[in-house]
Amino acid sequence: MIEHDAEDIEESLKRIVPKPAPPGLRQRVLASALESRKDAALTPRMRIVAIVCSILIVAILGADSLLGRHESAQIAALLDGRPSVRAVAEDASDLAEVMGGQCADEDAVKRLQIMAATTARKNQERNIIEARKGLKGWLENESFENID
Amino acid sequence: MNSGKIDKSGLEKGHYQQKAQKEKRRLLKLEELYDRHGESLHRYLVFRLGSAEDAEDVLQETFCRFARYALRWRLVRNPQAFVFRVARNEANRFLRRKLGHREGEKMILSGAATGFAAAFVAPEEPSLGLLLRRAEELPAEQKEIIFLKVFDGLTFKEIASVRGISANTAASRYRYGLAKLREAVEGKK
Repeated sequence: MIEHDAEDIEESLKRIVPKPAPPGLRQRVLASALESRKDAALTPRMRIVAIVCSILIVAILGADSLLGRHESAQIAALLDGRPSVRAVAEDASDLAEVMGGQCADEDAVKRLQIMAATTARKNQERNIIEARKGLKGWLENESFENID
Repeated sequence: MNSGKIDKSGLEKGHYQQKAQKEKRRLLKLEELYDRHGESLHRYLVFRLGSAEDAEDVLQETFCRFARYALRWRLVRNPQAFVFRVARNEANRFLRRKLGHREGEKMILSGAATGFAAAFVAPEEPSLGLLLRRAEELPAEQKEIIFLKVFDGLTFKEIASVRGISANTAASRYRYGLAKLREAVEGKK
């Protein structure tokens, strides 16, 4: 009979004999492992290349969006808060999208872009004319000379 | 011209020899791995799954995984803990596949399939038989930790890595398990 104190329990457990592995297990396991290696879609080197390429793609995409943001910030600073032509074009394509199937083709988008650009130009012209009118009035108050 | 041909065929021969040597090295690595851990992994899987046939299937799957892990092996710091962890995960995957996700998950959590009886020869000595029966009655997580510690000689840190718990938890579960076994065996005496 065994004395079962704390350490003896470990020792007693170690005396229990494990069942033997079935015959031919080693060959079967190794054969299937090698077979699966042959069937692998990518070799280790190809896997490295794939990982490097995907990292590069992600880096390029990230850098591109960062540069784009920087560029648009620069344009906004140059235009002093006024909407750029690019914004007008974007509005046109947004409008075309909202209109959906009716005007979604390229021609319609171009037409809308032209219309939007013309409107923007007309607004600018109107502003200039108003400014000139104001200037004329000021000149009239200052002098009696006819500047025309 | 003739000598050029000889050189070319010589180069090709060298290339094929190199390739064959590389393949042989890979094979040796897998063989080495099997010689080191194959039998103990099989025994562990029999213990986990309660069936020698299922254990063999899972062992094959596990080694297929090792064969595909050519790169990952370079990053592995403790191969023994790693192989047991991979085998354990593969056994869990097998149970989910076999029983369906929900039932498989239940089985994994309860450890209902886990048992010493399938992995060990029934001892002739009555005291050892009693010990084995009492060990069988322990909660699944204690049983598994006792198995890994006593029969595979894993450290608590390695067991913690295999089971995804802390080393302290592994150690305390081991001690609780052994204390329960001692109580059960002494009570019976």
